[in-house]
Amino acid sequence: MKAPVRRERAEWRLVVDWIKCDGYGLCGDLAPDLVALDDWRYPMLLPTPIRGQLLEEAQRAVDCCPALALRLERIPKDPR
Amino acid sequence: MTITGTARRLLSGPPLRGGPESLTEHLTRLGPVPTGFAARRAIGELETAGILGRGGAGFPLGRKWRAIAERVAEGGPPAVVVANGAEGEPASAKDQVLMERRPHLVIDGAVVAADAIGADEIVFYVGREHTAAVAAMSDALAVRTAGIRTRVTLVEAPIGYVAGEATAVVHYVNARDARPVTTPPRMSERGVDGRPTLVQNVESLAYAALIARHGAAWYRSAGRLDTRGTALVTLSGPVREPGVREIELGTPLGDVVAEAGGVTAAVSAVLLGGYFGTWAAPADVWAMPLDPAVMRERDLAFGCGIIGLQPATQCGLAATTRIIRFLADASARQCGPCTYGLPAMAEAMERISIGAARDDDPDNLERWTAMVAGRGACSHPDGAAQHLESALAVFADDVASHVDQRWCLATGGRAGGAR
Repeated sequence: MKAPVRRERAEWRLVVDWIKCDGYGLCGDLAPDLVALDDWRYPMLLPTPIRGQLLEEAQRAVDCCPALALRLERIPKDPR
Repeated sequence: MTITGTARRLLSGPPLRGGPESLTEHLTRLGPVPTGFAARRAIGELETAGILGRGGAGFPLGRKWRAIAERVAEGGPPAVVVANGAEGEPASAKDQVLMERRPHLVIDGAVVAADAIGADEIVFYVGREHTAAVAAMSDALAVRTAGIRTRVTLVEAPIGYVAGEATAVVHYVNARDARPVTTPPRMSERGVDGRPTLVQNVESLAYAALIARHGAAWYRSAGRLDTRGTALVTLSGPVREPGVREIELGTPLGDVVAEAGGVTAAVSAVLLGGYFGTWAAPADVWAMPLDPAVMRERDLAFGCGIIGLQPATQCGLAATTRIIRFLADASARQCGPCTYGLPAMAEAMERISIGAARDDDPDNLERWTAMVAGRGACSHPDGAAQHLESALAVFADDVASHVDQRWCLATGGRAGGAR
């Protein structure tokens, strides 16, 4: 049996609720490694899984979203 | 509008010019609607038949019905059937024709579905702009209600392209707000009144009513290639007999046009699938079988069966501009990329088509089509992007001519002149 996966070892992704998102663009400013902004300052999420230190950057973006439209979601592990 | 075709199943019966088929004619022709065991067995028949949904997405009927039936059987609340006849797609008329001419077949399909999945309520959701269809369905339901055990309502759908999107349908029935919602929870789990809900296009339901009577083997006896059965298509443009036709799936596009009397003018492009479909060059698709599987392999979609022929002497960029503008106006304006991206795309396309392109318009169009896709609560922006992308490819020479020379190759005149 494997030890439980510690949070920093797990992989996460950012998810936008497009109906809530109002294009404030803070996420792009706070997490430039993870979020690019389009021509109207709506987020374009980079597809790479998030782990380690980048997780802090992602969490900051989530916490500061004025529309509460951004969340971190754990990427489900493939069952082996 | 002409309604013809050689493969008559959905449209078999009395002459189509005669208006709605009466209940007596319908019962004489097809007998009573299967109920009880016969209806529950329909799920297996649909699975064996392999019939795909006819609203545009092409999801298999059997799998959709079974998921809901299992949910109800596991002790969930009774389900709801929503017969989707919104048909907000301007280039499609097949659902209207079916509801106008064969209302009892559509009702039968919903009744079979309700019995099969364990629903105690049926909602007929009919586009309110389709007044003849609303009247035919309403009249047909008035003479049927006594024989139907579930609660039945007719809801007139608000006008609009996205009003027929499945989550928007449920949202409207629940809260009179026909805007899509963020997809989870699934409608098959919590839809109308929080109950498992089957949202099914009316052509799909009508076909289910026939399969419940005649069985899967009968269904599979039509069709020329892997995808079996017949389907309704809407043919428009310079063709002798435009309108709704029933075709055997797998029939080559050129044969369908020939059956409709052939073209009356040269054609520069073919729009397949719908406004959410794609443009193709006639030479590439004339011999192509109209089979969803074949079309998918070629990055096309059968969609809801639209075949739009673009006259060679009319500007394809102007046609594309009208479509993108329509789609931009049809946005529910809930998600930023769709709210801002689609109008920007429409404006750039319009400038190009009238010979007033800005230097960055062509590059921006390419960038925006990639930018809006996959970034909304529903796939409206994806459809618009895909449509525009195909237009820029099929009309590439004319785009270059409009931008560089301010000249329209199709009309042979100044760009933005005669359309």
